[in-house]
Amino acid sequence: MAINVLIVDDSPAMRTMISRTLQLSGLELGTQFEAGNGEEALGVLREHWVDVILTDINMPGMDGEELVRAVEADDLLKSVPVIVVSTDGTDARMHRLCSMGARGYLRKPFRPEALRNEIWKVLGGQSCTPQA
Amino acid sequence: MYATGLSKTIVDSAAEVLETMCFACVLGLAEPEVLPGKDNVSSTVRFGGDLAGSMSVTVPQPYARNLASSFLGITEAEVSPLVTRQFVSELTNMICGCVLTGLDSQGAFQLFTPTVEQAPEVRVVPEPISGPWIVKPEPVAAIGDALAEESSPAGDAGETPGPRCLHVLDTGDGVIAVGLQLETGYERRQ
Amino acid sequence: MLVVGVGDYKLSCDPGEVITTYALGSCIGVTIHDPIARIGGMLHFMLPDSGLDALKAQTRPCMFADTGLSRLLQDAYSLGAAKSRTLVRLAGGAQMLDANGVFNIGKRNYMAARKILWQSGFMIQSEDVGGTVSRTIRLEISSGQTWIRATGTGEQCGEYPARTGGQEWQLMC
Repeated sequence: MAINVLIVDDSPAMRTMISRTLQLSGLELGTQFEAGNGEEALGVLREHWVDVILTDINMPGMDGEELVRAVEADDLLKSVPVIVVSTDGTDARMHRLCSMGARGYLRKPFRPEALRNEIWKVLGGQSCTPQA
Repeated sequence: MYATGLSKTIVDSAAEVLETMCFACVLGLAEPEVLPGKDNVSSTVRFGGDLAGSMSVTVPQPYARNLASSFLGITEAEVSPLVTRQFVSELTNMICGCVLTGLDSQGAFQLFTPTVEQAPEVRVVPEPISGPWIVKPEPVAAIGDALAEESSPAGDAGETPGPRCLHVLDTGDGVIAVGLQLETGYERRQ
Repeated sequence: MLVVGVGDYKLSCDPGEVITTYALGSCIGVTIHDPIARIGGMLHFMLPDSGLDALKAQTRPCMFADTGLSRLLQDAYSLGAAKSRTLVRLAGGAQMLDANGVFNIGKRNYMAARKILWQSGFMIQSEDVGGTVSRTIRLEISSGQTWIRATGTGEQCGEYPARTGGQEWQLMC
């Protein structure tokens, strides 16, 4: 089943790198959506179904923490798993995001395999069949 | 001495980011003089929280393009000047976040949107006290006008807002200058 | 059993075949395997960049990460391996003194392999790199299983004490 992904990061370079990682990860990918901050992300989520959200924390406007709060507070969106991808590796931030409902937390810098593994883990054994 | 702790954290963090995301192995440190005059890409990130200040990363344009191509997994020919600048912004963001997490994993910080500029001049300013050479990126606004007004090369060290530290990392293929300026003193949490 | 020497590579589509290379040290061993086409290969390279030695790059391309990987992958595709199905594993890259006294050649070899593979569109299935041990690896063509063993002989010197005896074979993920 094709997976739709929303990538939320204010860095176009990082969104490109994450997008490439997704394409090479063995996932059956549907549509990749991108957003530069939390508000844009909510805009995408109002229009489209996504299966997983990858979000940075430090972004201008609505940041990643506020996005996670908004997603978890929404009856429809709260079933969509959120994976935080951030340079912030402080204990307080990580604990707070995870207790708020983030299903995964990946520190930057990361190997592409680490992102792939985090997605597979969060999606709970979604089959990744080699594509001919 | 915290200056040493800062130095080590900056170098280790930059090396971790460069190795993990750009596959560039930091071989050692270079002298600030090796940074060429004008053809550089420089990005500055301000941060706040338990520690406040700014970090600047400066990379010669051709090497910035090379690192961007490694990061994105594309050829250098496919890397435009815009993409190069976007990459250096993200590089600065990542190194800064790593440094702040490394300095105090029990603390809290917030990073602001990086600014980036092409071809700033980099000059060496000698410190009046013994210690590492520091570099003020030009224009001076790159590390914040308020900080620049307070500090002066020949001034009293006691007026300096906080420790600052610059290192130029050498990967064998190129150099990357990483500068940190804290607005207040820093002591490692016990 | 096919044995890959230093600066060499081997490919096979014989399901009964096993490919091995010994004493990786600071070198990197790259194994590739397409589980559907049942094609597998192994490269053992020593240096990160062929650009510094154009002559050797022509005569002995598998000494280097860039020319060696190119050769391994192109030949694998010619045999019928599909890029999107091929699993890649890395071993070696230990931090050791080489003949020139360069301590970090292992890490540089590892970085070079990762950079080239990322640009070529591969993720790494698993890896066992770094440290100070020398490694031996074995690839089974029928299953794609890659086995690894740390060994203490050969390339260690200076302050790193030689370890006697081999260790158990372990399956790489």
